[in-house]
Amino acid sequence: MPLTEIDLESITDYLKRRFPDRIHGQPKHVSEIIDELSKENINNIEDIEDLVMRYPPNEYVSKLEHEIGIRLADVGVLRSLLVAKKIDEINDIIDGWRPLPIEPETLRDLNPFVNIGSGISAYLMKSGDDIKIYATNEGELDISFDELGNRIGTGLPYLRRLAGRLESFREVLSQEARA
Amino acid sequence: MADKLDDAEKFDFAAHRKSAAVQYAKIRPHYKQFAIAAKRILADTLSNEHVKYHSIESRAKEVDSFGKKAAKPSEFDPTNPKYPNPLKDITDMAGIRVITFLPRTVNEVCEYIEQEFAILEKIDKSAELLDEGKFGYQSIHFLVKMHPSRAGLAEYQSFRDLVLEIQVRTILQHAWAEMEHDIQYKSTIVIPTLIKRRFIALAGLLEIADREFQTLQDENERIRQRKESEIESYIASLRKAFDDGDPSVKEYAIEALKDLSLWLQSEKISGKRDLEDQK
Repeated sequence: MPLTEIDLESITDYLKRRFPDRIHGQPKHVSEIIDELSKENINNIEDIEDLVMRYPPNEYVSKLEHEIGIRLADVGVLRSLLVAKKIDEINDIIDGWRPLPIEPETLRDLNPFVNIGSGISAYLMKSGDDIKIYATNEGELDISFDELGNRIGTGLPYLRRLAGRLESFREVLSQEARA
Repeated sequence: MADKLDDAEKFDFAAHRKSAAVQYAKIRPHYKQFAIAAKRILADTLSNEHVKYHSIESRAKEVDSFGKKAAKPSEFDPTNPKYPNPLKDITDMAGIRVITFLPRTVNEVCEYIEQEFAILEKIDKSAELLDEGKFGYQSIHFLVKMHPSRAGLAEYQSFRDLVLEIQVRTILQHAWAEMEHDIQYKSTIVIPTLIKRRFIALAGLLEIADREFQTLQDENERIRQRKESEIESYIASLRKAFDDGDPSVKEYAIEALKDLSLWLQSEKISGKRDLEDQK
């Protein structure tokens, strides 16, 4: 069966069918989510459906909705599911590093993966047997959807930069462990 | 002879009731129009001011009910009527009732009533009951006339001398009052003390429930405001990063704003418009 390529029309139809009781994003937001999907290698409607099946919206967006009493639009739901997917991908990479060296017990990366000033910088760090985030404004954060999924400013751009810094941090960690 | 004289002097309550009902029936349609006009004024005001309420009802007193009230004996002299001149003495011929969800909205509605109508009298039923050492449903009652600024207008001129009763209460107070009224009216005997006590206890419970609803709403609002303030502060940081940062920081600020905008696509985030502007 041929796959349905994602374009403005096909995804708009899909979102209306898939989330009939949610607010539907405006065309410019739908275009933005198409870009986001493309960056995450999701290029047809069937891939989106797989994403929705793998990360049930009730589980992945309801916490935020309950917390601040809002109901996400369809594009907001997809964006949250992409965040969940990205976090899983990052954790898959980190799992490939295991077992982590015992020493040093804690180690913060040399360079932040995000630094926008105003005290908002984030580093990768080793903390015991885990790889975590050290955010200068928040302290230690787990790399999990529970911790990051509903937090302001820890969306896809943040996670992409985190993912981009993983390999460098692994080298820093190896050098420190050898030393 | 003396008995005959007494009979002759005895007030004829039945005739008084009938006469009051006949006179009122003639003017009732006008009162009905008055109540509808007043309801429209208040509903428009509350809507313009974004006051969230459950309902507004308007009514003109039923003819039979008016007659019955007119024939009530005076508490001080039961041989004479409480309302010797019913059309003048009875003040609830036209009425509107505003039912709110929360106690604080009762106060807001009262403020708009005081702004939009000429107030003849304001009675806080709860304070009145407390003064008497009793519990009961809380309700604010107003007697009002058209505001002088409106009374001169052609569409309201015919209502300028009429008096309107306005009641404001929460939905729980309303439920209590309706149930109590229903039992009072259907009961052919005096309501037993035990039932009265249980009604009074229920009024106390509903007052606690009303307060708890208000507290929950306040808490919810506080959480939302805190979240909105966090979002605003984050947007300000991104904006500053965009203004001050190197190209990679600028790029990140734009991406992060887009991401935030997608995330917060919802009807209820008031900062949404600002966010759109920032982009």
